[in-house]
Amino acid sequence: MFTLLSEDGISFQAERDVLERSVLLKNMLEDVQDSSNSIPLPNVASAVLEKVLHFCEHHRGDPLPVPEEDETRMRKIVIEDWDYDFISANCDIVFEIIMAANYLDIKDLLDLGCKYVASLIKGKSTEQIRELFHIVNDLTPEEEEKIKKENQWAEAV
Amino acid sequence: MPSETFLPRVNLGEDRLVDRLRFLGNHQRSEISSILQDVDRDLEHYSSEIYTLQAKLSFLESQRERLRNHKAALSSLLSPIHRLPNELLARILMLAGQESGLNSTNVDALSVAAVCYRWRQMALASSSVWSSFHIYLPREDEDNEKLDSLLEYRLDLFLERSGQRPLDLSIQVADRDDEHPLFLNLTESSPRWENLSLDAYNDDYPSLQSANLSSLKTVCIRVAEEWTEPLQLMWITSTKNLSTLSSNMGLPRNKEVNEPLRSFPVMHSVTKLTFCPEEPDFLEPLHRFPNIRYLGLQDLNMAEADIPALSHVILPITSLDILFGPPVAVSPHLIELAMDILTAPSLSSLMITSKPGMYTAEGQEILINSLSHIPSFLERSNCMLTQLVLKALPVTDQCVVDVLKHLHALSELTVEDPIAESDYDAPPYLGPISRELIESLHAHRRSSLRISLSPIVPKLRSLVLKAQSTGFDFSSFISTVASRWIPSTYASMETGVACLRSVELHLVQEVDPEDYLPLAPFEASGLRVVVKGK
Repeated sequence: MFTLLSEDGISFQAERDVLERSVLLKNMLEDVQDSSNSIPLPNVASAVLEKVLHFCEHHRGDPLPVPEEDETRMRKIVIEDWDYDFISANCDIVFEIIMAANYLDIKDLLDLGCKYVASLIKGKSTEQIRELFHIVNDLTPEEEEKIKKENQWAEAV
Repeated sequence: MPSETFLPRVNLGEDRLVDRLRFLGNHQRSEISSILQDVDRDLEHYSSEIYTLQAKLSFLESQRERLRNHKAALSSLLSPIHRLPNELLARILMLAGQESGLNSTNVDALSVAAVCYRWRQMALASSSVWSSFHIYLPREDEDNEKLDSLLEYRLDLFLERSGQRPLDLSIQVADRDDEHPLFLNLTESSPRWENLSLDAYNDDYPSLQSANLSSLKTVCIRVAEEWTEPLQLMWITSTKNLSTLSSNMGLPRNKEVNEPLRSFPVMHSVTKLTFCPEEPDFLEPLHRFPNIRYLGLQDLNMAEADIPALSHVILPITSLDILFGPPVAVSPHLIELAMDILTAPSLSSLMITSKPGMYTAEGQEILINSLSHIPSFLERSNCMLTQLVLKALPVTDQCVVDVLKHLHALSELTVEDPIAESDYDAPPYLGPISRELIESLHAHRRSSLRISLSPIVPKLRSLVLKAQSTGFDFSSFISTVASRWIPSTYASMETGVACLRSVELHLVQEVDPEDYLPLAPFEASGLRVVVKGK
């Protein structure tokens, strides 16, 4: 068992095959013989690290994503049942999970987070997207005019 | 309230003054005129005061609005999505833009490109946001000049913004006498087509014959069921890198009378092929695809009751996927055809799926009988099947166990019950997932369906069950899973049973987590457990 130390000083223990879902941790563990020293993760809060480890535990033993297949795999928004339940149950910290997955280099978790957010966006109008993510419209009038032209469909229908 | 500098001249509310002036003499008239002048001056002052206050109110409202906007802008900066670095936001925008429907009111790629300055800059700079889209080309009688012109504008926008990036196109074409003008516009971009899904009445598109399809890797063509002519697909033969071909109809056969079909070439690049076998020489088109690794067979299209004597086809496939609807009357089954004709020494994955629909009792019998052809196929092929998926087959548990008895190398098993229909009037509901099936998977116990003590599917590592029946027996499930949790390599070798690594159970009834608590220690030790109920 290895110990991880979160940004806010909370310790988590996990087995090697769980941690090796993360390319960053896998590389670190190659240099660590003694598991008594904890591994500090200054960019990951305990609430997020707990979820990340839960995901890695569930997926331990799964084949790691093949880099060459990234493009094709990434382009299809297909989410497995368990993964969907996991990410939607943690939707309030989904961006933190995405950033942690990016930092720890956990490709399938990064994929999952990005696909989940994209699935929230799909089918929504611009205004609905702004409301969803609390984004303010800071476009210039010239840009607004161009956008209006691109979106003339509704009036024509 | 009037401002401090403004003092009204006229004192309101003095009824006695009105009484006193009611009887008008010269003096009173003069006094009234004087008062009226004062009233007019007061009215002007009041109006002036109101304008001043209105201006001030308007200014305050405007300031409040600006402050609100400022607050929203500041709050927006705290929104978690703003903390995403550009490369992650670009990834999300690319995914959100996939398969944008150009005929929709909300076009995903356009919507994300209009959210804010940052998103717009990123979307416009990212060709992948615009390179995957769906377009519907309507019939002549649906033509609407304004919509056509807007559709053309949008199409040009997507083609321009996707730059030189390979395109992922889904084109749906209504039945019409001529090619839609926009189809011609689309084919101008054909050198960039990488994945094409064509949903059309037929495959007769002259502009495709002259299109440059050198980048095409995947083609999925669906034509209308009413279309009875054999597909020509000659345009496909100009592709050099096509790896995946899928059709909901038969493929061209060399023995067709049609002259051009005689030149349909051997396509070495295709590794994934899906089609619908047709009489009289069902699998003959396979000879044109010598390097396929994946074969998908869909609904068998035949009228005769017996499969004619056909020579075996030896294929290098690793995956076979058979999909069909409820069989009709006395027709032989697609599974039977595939199992009797194919030989696949490298096969490792077999998936058999039934589409939803009503099965007659006879149809179920045909299906059950066809599954009994699997063992002879496996023996003839001498393959190591490691993955088996049985989806929605209305067959008995015995039937499934009989197949599993022959799968000594199987490591992944998925069984899904057919979805029970309330108005199922013909045969009684039949699904293979039962207590007896689960007990038959036990590592070292007999069951009513398995007399031998030696385990079936001894190398099983992943089990997925999707049951439709209520009253699922969780205790036999837990007992079977526990019997296959053998993390010790020594014990695993001694028993000849591999350690189960993943179990998924999907039920239609509500799940009491307490029932499945005995699985918690295994989960903590590394077994992946998913139990989902209604």
